Amino acid sequence: MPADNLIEVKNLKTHFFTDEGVVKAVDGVTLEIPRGKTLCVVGESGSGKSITSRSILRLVDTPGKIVEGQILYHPSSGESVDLTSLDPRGKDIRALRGRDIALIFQEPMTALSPVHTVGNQLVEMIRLHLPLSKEEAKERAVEMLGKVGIPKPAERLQTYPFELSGGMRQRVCIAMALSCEPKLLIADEPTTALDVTTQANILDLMYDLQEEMGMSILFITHDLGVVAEIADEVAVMYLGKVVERGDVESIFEDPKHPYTQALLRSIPKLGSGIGRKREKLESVRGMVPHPFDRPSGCTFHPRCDQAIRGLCERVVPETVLLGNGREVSCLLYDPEHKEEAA
Amino acid sequence: MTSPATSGTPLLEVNNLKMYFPIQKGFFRRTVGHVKAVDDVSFTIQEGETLSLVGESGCGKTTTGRSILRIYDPTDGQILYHDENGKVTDLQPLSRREMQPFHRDIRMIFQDPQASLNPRMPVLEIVGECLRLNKVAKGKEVEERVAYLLERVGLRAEYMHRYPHAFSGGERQRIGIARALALNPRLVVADEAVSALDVSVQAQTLNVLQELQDEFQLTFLFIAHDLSVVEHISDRVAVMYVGRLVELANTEELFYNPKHPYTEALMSAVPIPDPKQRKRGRRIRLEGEVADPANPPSGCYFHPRCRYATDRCQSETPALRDIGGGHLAACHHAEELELKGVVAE
Repeated sequence: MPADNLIEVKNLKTHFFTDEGVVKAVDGVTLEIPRGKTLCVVGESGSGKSITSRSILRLVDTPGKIVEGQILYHPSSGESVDLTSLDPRGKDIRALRGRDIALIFQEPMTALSPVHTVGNQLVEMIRLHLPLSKEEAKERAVEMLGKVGIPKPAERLQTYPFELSGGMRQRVCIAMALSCEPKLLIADEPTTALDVTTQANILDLMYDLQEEMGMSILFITHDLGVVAEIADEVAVMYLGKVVERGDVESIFEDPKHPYTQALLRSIPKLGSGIGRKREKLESVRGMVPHPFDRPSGCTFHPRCDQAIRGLCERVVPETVLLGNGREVSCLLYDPEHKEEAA
Repeated sequence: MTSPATSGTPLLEVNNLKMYFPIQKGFFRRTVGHVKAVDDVSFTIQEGETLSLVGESGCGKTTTGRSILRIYDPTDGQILYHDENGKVTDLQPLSRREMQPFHRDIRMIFQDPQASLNPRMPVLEIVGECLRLNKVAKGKEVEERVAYLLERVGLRAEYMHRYPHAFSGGERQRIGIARALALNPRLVVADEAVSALDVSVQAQTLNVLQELQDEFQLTFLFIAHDLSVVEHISDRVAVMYVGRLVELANTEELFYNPKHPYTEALMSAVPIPDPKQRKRGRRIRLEGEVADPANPPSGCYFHPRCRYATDRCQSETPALRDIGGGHLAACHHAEELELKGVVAE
């Protein structure tokens, strides 16, 4: 149902051409971001989740390049745009960045300018995209700061980022990202650098703002607890590929891919450890391979407990549709290889 | 299996530890106030147990750990270390030189494996340096010992001639662990040792730490902010807020039956990896920010954010007291409040 989706990423490949070789950071990612909902992309470091989001905004630095694939943006009115066809420095993408698609980063201190006041940064951003006067933009900035729960927003316009705590800074970033009412908010690990209590507040805030403003959220995280709190849809990434997709409840209840299963087993759960302390945590064997040293076949096979010898190291798994919007890239579910698997 | 309640020999007693950092202003660097990073903290670490210190950033948990290792010079208080022969030494007033022999027994694992390993040293040097400096081993012995240590933490011994950049984050953290264990320490202070790691690697590292603890009868002071990790690894847990201990109890007791409102709020904020238990609305929202340790509120430091605060909390500072069965809490209303702990599955 393409009408429901704001963004469709089709077979996206973003590669980095370094002196030592080609790093296939994103290697054939297909996903959809539904309108007004939250898609969580989960994965360990090096899985390509951040590069996927940066590809959407065309913010991939050299030597990185989108070598294949489409990123279709469907605004509610007007024609669909393939973002990969735009010039990354051109006018068209710059009109979208910050206006239709906004980004918040993991570390709010580095995302904000240390030498400009919060107010100046907000006003600059608003006036760049909206036809407002300085005074109107200022009013809007105050309104946005109030919306994200910053006390005394009018006074806060004069403060510099270093005067604010981490949680407050992240709120400023969210206010800035949402000030032009974007259709899509990309949140790249927005709560990772924050304390649990602050994280809980920021997650609640993002949820409330989504209810109010109706934007889609692409939420990138490695924390499965956060996923369970905020996601509608989930995509699990491993080494530049989406290995499993589905709605949040079915992913947690019935994970199909061995990697997802292992990830879910390896997190210590609050309340379940009592009385079972000293028991070993189940963990995924080994570690994420070096980008120059990608395993053949299914890239997860060296760490997989259910790998089929003679098959998984040879055949690259295709995406298998399981119904109910579930998708998995694993040979265990591929009907073609069912006999070999058994 | 170590049971902290029965072994009962203290390894380290921290009494009324204070670490104040001066705030200096003006041309003459006049001291105009103090940041009370650690303010009157007392606890005991038993031999063979894992005691965790938890709290939000800025609560003084790292400063406490660093004061014990005398990376900082504590302002006041006692750090009584019981050595293997039962001799008790107060580490607080010792000079750097006098501290040296104790640095063999008390070691540290740092949070950021990237920053805590010298990029210009091969692993053999990083892990072996302390062996040579302390004259524990020399020449070929160093290599043998390093090879053994690397294998114990799950790295291949051949890797000892490589430099840190050749390792992934999880592997680097294992190098840090190997270095901490090189001198057969008795107490290891692990400051956010697994926080920077990916989930799958974090689980592996926690397993390594537990195996090593059983094998070498190590005692851990585990400083962390991730409550699910803390619950998994600790025997006892101490909760800190703005430089003070607010609660200290056995892990099970603390998680099931918290007695301080801050502990309750902290636990309710932890995201639960089960979408069916979405807690929106049920979660306690902590309003406001962590108090400023340079200018803390009156009375109980937590009262401006506490749901249960009364007039008494504004004026009177609660002492950390035993409210039964070795469960310590610093709250005037610890007995009356019915706080929600972790709900077991």
